[in-house]
Amino acid sequence: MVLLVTSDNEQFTTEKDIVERSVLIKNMLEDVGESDQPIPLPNVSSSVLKKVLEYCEHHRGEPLPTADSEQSQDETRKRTTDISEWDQKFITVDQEMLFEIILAANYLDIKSLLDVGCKTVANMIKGKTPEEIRKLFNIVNDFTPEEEAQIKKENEWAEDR
Amino acid sequence: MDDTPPALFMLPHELLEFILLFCHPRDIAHFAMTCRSAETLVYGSVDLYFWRQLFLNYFDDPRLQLPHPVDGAFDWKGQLIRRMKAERVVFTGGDRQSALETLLSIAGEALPSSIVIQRSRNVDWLHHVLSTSAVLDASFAPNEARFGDRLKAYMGLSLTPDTEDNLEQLRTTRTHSRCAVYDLRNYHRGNRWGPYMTDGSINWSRVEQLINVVETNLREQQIEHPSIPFPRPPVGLQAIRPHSAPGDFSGADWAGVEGTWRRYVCFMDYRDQFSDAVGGARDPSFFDDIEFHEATRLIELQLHLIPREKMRIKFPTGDPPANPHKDYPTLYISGTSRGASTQEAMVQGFVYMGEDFVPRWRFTSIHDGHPQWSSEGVQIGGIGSAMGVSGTWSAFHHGEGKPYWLWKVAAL
Amino acid sequence: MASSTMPSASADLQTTWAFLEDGVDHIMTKLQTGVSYSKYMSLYTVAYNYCTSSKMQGTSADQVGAIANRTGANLMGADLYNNLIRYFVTHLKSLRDQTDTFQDEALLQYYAGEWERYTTGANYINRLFTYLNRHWVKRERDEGRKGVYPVYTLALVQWKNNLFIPIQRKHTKLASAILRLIELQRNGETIDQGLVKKVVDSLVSLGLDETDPNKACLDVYKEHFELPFIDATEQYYKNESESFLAENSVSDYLKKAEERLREEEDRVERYLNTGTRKPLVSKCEHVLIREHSKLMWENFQTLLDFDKDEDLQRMYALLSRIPEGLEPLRKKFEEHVKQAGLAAVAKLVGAAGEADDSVDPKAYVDALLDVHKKNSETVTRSFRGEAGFVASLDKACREFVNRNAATGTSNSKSPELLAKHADLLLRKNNKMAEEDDLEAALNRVMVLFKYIEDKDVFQQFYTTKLSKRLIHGVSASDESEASMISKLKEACGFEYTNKLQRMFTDMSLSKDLTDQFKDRMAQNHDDMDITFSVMVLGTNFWPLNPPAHEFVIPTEILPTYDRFQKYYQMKHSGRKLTWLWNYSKNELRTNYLNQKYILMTSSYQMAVLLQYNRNDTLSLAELEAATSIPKDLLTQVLALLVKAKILINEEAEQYDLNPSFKSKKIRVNLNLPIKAEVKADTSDVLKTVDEDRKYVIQATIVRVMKARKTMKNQPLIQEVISQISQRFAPKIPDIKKAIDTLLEKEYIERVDGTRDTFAYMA
Repeated sequence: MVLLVTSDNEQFTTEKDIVERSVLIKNMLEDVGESDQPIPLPNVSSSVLKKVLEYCEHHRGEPLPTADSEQSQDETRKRTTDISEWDQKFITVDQEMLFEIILAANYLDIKSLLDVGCKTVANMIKGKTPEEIRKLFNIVNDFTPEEEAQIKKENEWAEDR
Repeated sequence: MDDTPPALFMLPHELLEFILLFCHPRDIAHFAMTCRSAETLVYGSVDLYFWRQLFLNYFDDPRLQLPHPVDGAFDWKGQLIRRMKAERVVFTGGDRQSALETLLSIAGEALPSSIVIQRSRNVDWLHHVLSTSAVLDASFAPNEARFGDRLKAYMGLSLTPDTEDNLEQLRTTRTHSRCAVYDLRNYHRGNRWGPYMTDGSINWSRVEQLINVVETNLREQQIEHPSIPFPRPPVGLQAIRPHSAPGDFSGADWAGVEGTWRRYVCFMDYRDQFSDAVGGARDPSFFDDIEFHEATRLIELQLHLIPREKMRIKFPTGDPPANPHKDYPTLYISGTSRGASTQEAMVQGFVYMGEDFVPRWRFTSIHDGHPQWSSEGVQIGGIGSAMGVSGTWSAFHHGEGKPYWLWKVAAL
Repeated sequence: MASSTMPSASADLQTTWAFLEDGVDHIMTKLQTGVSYSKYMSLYTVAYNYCTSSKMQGTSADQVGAIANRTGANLMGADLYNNLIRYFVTHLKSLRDQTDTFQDEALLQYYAGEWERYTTGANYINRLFTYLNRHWVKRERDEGRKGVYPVYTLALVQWKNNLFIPIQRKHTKLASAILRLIELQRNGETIDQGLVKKVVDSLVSLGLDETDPNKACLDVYKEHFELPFIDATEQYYKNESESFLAENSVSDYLKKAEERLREEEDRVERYLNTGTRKPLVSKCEHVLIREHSKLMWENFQTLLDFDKDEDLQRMYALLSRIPEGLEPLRKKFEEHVKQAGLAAVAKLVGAAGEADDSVDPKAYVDALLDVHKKNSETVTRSFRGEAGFVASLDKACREFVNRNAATGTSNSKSPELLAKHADLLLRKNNKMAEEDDLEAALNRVMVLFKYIEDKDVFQQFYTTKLSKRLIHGVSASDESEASMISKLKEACGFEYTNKLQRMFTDMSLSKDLTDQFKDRMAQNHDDMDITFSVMVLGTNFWPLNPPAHEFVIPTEILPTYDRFQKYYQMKHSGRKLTWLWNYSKNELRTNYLNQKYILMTSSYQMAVLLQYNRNDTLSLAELEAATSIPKDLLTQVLALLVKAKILINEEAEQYDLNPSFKSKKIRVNLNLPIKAEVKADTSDVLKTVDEDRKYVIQATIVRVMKARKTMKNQPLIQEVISQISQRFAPKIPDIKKAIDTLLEKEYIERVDGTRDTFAYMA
């Protein structure tokens, strides 16, 4: 069993093989060795860690991706449509939580979770006009009118057909 | 909108790039248009990383292409956008010449075939674009034909499925091609009685026509004799990839000469060929005449390389150019050719790399010590393409132009 | 460890790095005191936060500047990376200063110890900066930037540049220290092998392949260690071998060299990189073996002469390691065997005296076989049966088997002697007790047969002797005869033994024929009181010639003769029978003496004696007239009968029957061979061989010309020689003669305009 302590000082106990989906923690346990010490996670709050552990537990036992798996030549182009049903449901959260999960996955080095989160965001962007994107993500349009015209021209090639 | 910064922008740059790389370039452009920071993220990078990754998501790595791999300073962004533009033009109109030129370059930059590299992203992408748009069906202006007809030649009518109905639909194309191919006025010393312009560059429209003639003949034969399997040369984007023909290209045989080849030659009755030789455009209705007959014959060849000194023939259309390309020296060929009802003849010839990096093939067949037929042809596709070589053949010194299509079936 | 709290995510570089450096230093220098989870996570987090601190939205001045330049994560990563480098450089400097105080083994101890500590720490650091590796380093490398490495590799690069190379610059201190230890070990002292291995391994680790940092690379190892090591080895063994040989025998040197080579192989296993094995062994072989090969070659003969097996084995093993090392040995061995063979035969001939016909076949064969056996065993035992030595043995044997003191200049003497020996083995009353011994003896014959060049001479002699054995019924056993024939067939093919096979068949057919004839006669005539058996032999297969003269068939046997002639003609009409009176034999019962004797005679003797059925005394002329046997032959026949005391020759040319003939035995064998006949046999054989050879050469030329259509003189001769050499070694003059004959007979012609090109005439 492993004891985790979040940034807001909450403690979580979980099993080693669940939490080792985080390559960071896996490596640390290997380097430092096992002990009773609690593992502090300064960058992860309790609400986020809860979600992360939920994910790790569900995917327990699955093989971790190897270092080379990003580079395979024949890999079909980055697909965003292959998120499993459970993952889909899991990642249906408000934007803030979504980004927190992504950051946590990045920090804890959980590649599959990172992929799920990022693909989800990508899906949110796909097929939208700039204005729609702004609305969705609360982005302020800070172009001057001249700049805007210039930008539009430069991106003409991306106009819908 | 409130003043709190977008939660999205809490993510570090590398994660935002990572997310964007899941998107289509179009979506990325839209994102870039949302605000300054977004625009800088997408377009303002000092390094090439982002656009290179994006490019490689959709297209083959040009650092692996043949014959000229590019180096790392390739304009990933510019080239990707150019391709997106071309796609747009194809579907919604615009500068069609540029678009066709771009599409053609995509075909040419498809990864060489090998055991390791099976699929080509260029081929997949281009195939999708060509088959879902009608760009190759349009009639091309002269400046467009250079690219468009060449692309059509590569496709070898593969976009039109091989059915009896379609053969009927291709009638106009077929007739038009026959007219051009069998018109003796199209062959003269200036173009070496081959599919060339007078300046030596390849007349891809002619090549397309030659391929059309052979292909439609084969389709017709197959339909008329459904139980006889006619070997068919491979066509289409997969078949034009470099090294897609059987063989090992790692040694001196850069063109994949050595091995077994098949060849179709077409010809008409002599009287038919010469009947309208003088004056007037060839009348298309001639070909629709029920009496008209064109033959298509299958020949098998065994070819191997020989040193230059062992060549025994002089070529009526000339020797290969004096300064071969340093990576692609002229290869001299010798072998035998045999048809179903003809005796074995000897063939000799050579293949050299043209200045446009399209291999040119020239050979002559010899029977009983005398030269019989001579052929002029160009590689369809990349070096050592499965689709092979197409061009014209005629009786030695006779200066006609009859279509042939030569492709490799087995390595040595 | 410093209890500084984690700097915030927005802290500046200085603060951030101070914190990180403290942790890094702790890990690099005091790792043994342990690292808590808390510390680990803090370090990782601070590094991570700093790397990811450039975001799209920021308020601090340098953040905005960063975005404007859009270097973003690039800049952050570079900051940490460069600070790491600075740390390593400083850290390593202090180590370097320490090393100035150490030499030799102490230096190695210090180096190995620090290396261990350093690499363990670097591994840790690598993991802490994992985010840096994954993003910034990877990106920089993808962009083709040189000198950017994953943190562990960076640590190694810094070690190499700041510690290793500086030490080496001081007279290659480090490598020299290793070499000194190795030298000590070679001198017989014990050294700390583990230490050497550690240092050597570190050199291997320091090699870097720029395109793939994870790939092993031996460039540092090779440059700084392997090269000087091989040079030192060369020097060491050069000195050792020279001084050793000055004081010790070659035999002892072989032992030493062998030991040293084994030692070096072992050395590689224990603490060197496997890639060094090849250059090291090769260098040692050069210095220890090739440089002294001349000496070894010279010493070889002594070893052979004194049968020094162990030394021979060792010398072979050593010289086989260098190219062309064995060739001189092979040549010497060949000469040695040849001389041994020639000497053995010379001894034999010397003992037998001047008469060259009196060499005992068995002694001859045994002498040859002894030399072969002894040296064949040497090849197996001392030269590992190596093909080249076997070839040398064969070459030498081929020489002395065919040309020695007993053969003189004739190539046909040896096959003749061998055939004689085989004949003696296969006769009844040979001294071989058991069947097995005979089989073994025949196998030994085949061993020599392999070396005989003129195999056709052997064939001819063998055929003749076999025919004698068969006719006279003196074969030891049918199985042995068959066994020998099958051995010959295996060696030379079906054609070679065809005739021999047929001879056997004829014998068996003749037995059947005799039985059938007997039955037939029994049915029809029962007044025969002459026992008769016949051998009907195919003319083409038997080397027998009919008598050159007429022969009057004695009346006593005439009826039998007639009946058999008739019987045979009836059975095989069209075949002509030629009676070989000169080989036939008879038994005569004496009725004129008190004791009934049975005389075993030749047909000529019979013809003579039967005359005395009607006369008691006869003159030479009368006998000649009665028998038609020519005078000189008849004289010899009579001489034998006189010697046996059957006839008395008191008056010149008059022969009386001896009425008082006595013999101890009832069966008296008068049928002894005539000396002239024996001599005639040999010359007959050789004549036959010559005739056959002429024919074979001609047939071969015709065959070759038919295939090639045209050929020049020289190549034709070469081709003929190579095709025939299996059977005998043709002489070039004979081939030329044959060509002339064929030109005359118009089988071939000269091509117009040339002197030496021939064409086949269809």
